[in-house]
Amino acid sequence: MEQFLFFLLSLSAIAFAVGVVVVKSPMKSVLSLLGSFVALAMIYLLIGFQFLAAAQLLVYAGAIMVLFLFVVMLLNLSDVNAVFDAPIRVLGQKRIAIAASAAALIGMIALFAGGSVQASESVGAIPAEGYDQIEYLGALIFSRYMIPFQASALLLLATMIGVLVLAKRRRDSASDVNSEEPAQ
Amino acid sequence: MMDDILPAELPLFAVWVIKAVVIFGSLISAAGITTLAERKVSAWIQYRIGPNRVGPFGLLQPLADGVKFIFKEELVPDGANRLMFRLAPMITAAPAMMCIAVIPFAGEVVIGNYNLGNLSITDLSVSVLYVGALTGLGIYGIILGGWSSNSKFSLMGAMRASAQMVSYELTLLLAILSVVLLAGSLDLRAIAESQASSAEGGIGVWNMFLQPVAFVLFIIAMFAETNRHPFDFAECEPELVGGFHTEYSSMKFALFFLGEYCAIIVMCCLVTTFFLGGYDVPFWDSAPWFIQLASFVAKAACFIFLFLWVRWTLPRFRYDQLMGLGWKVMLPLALVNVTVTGAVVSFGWSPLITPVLAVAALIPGVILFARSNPGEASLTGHALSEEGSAS
Amino acid sequence: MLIDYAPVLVLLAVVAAFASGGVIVSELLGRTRPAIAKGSAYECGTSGIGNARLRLSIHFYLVAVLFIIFDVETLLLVPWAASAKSFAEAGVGGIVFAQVAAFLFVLGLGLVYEWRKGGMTWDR
Repeated sequence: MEQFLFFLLSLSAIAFAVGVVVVKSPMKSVLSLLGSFVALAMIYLLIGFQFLAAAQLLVYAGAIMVLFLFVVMLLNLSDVNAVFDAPIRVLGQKRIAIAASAAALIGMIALFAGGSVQASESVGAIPAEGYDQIEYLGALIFSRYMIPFQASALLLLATMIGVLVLAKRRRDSASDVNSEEPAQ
Repeated sequence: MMDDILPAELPLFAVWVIKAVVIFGSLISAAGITTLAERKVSAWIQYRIGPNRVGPFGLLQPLADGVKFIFKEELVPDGANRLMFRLAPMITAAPAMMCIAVIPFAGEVVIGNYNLGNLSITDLSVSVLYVGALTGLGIYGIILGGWSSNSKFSLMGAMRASAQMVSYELTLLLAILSVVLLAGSLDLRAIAESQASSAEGGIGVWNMFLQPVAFVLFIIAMFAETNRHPFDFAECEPELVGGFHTEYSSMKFALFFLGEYCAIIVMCCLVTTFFLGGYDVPFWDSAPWFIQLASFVAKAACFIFLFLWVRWTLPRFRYDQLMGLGWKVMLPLALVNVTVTGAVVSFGWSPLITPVLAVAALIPGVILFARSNPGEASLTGHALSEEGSAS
Repeated sequence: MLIDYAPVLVLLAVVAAFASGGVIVSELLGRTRPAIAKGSAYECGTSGIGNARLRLSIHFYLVAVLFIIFDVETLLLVPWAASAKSFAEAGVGGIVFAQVAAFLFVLGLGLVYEWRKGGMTWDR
């Protein structure tokens, strides 16, 4: 059952990820990415990481994807082909990207097949609270990882200031955006 | 005779299916009853009679509505993205309905010889996170519905709804966090039981008395989160027709509608669990499960009534007021409340002083707010006329 | 642990069956009488002008970014909230709370900055 679910979820995660690149409409691309994230969260759950799964859903699926959607709508790329196709053809980026991904895939398969990367030992049944018990996480955050924890606060502060500066500048200079102000 | 046919013990899978079907069925019926209750309550408040044709006192009205929805014509607007247009109602309704899985309705259920376990579809050790993750996903159906309709009203409604849900979700999560701090667990059942008088090491006081600030914040946030009046900007009729479901008809519209009512019911169940002791029956620790269930339903019903009452009593906010309230009042208050509760729990003080401390911490904040923003103390923004003429 | 999530899957199946079943049944049973007017987007009776895919105000973008920041913050506080009681019992409540207070203070600074700069005022 777990094996079946794992393969189902991995396949859908990969399929959605491919969809992100293949699909033309940016909106569908974002939704495809969302699907990929949800499948990934369920894989985390399947291997016993409850908090990680929830974090994936809350932050990536619930917050970052909303931002992506808003950005797609903000830019309103209705005629995507005109924007993207020309430079891609000129530079041959598509072919390079495909070649690079194929090389990476072959490399990974070679690593696993060659035995350089060992699958971790099977540890039997997943403990009742999963591998990332909340209390264990809490203890780690506030002892071993207390500096990264504080650093994350600074990072978030920097983000907050940065985004405000960008948004304010945009609002001041591009008055045409302001005057349209449609969905107030 | 029954004993001969039925097995001595139900297989686990059967228990899952029974619970899922029964609880989901109850949720849908409750949503139907709430639609009727809404019309009856509004009629009562406005001194009308309300629906009274279908069945005695109009009790079968939801059923008639449901049948009508099924037989109505499906309209898909030209230029709409057909696949997403069809998917959107399902994606909206599903997260709200899935949340019901972790709500603890009562303790152990024993019917005849069968022990069905605790009355909830499941008990997760991180059910608070489960609820948080699902509420976050509820936004997509709305954005998708608004965007795929190819209608301006729909898109505006969807954008408003999503920005508003996103803003108030933070307050919701932070209010829950202060309850989690007191209970020391992310399990909804453990949180409910920690408020019972029989709880080990507990003081047997409902969180609404220990966490008045979080309680009020949660109630306000849940109104905004479910896009209900006085925060129903997603479908603010005079401005946006129907909001994100302007173009929807038939069963697809019904799913949006059901999703909204399911979200309301789930929120009422959550507030009951977090702040009113869940299925705790005051002064009766060993109540049988059906009494516990009745107690839970009664508490949740009070909040559902609150939703209806508020809708027909308060005027609607203005959108900038709503966002201002969310970011400038609710979020800072929630942060202060979490900090104060954290201090109380961390230093091992009695939780009884939390409300005193929380209110004491709020007073200077309120004074500062009123002083630094004399114009905004009433939460009104500036220069609305400018925006109005521009658009 | 996984067994706790199995009933969620069962519920998901029930919900999916209900939602898709409802839509499919009504598409099959509902009568269809297409008309040009029915297909057009609702604009209160007048015909629509321009594309419905509007450009949106930058406010939405700002709100989304702020949401991400505070969402991450809340999530980082969750392990603390769930285990603060056991920290207090273990006698390290004060030290841990000091760390959380420092974390919240830094973010509080951000909040104040955002407020002063008008990032939280919707109409400007």
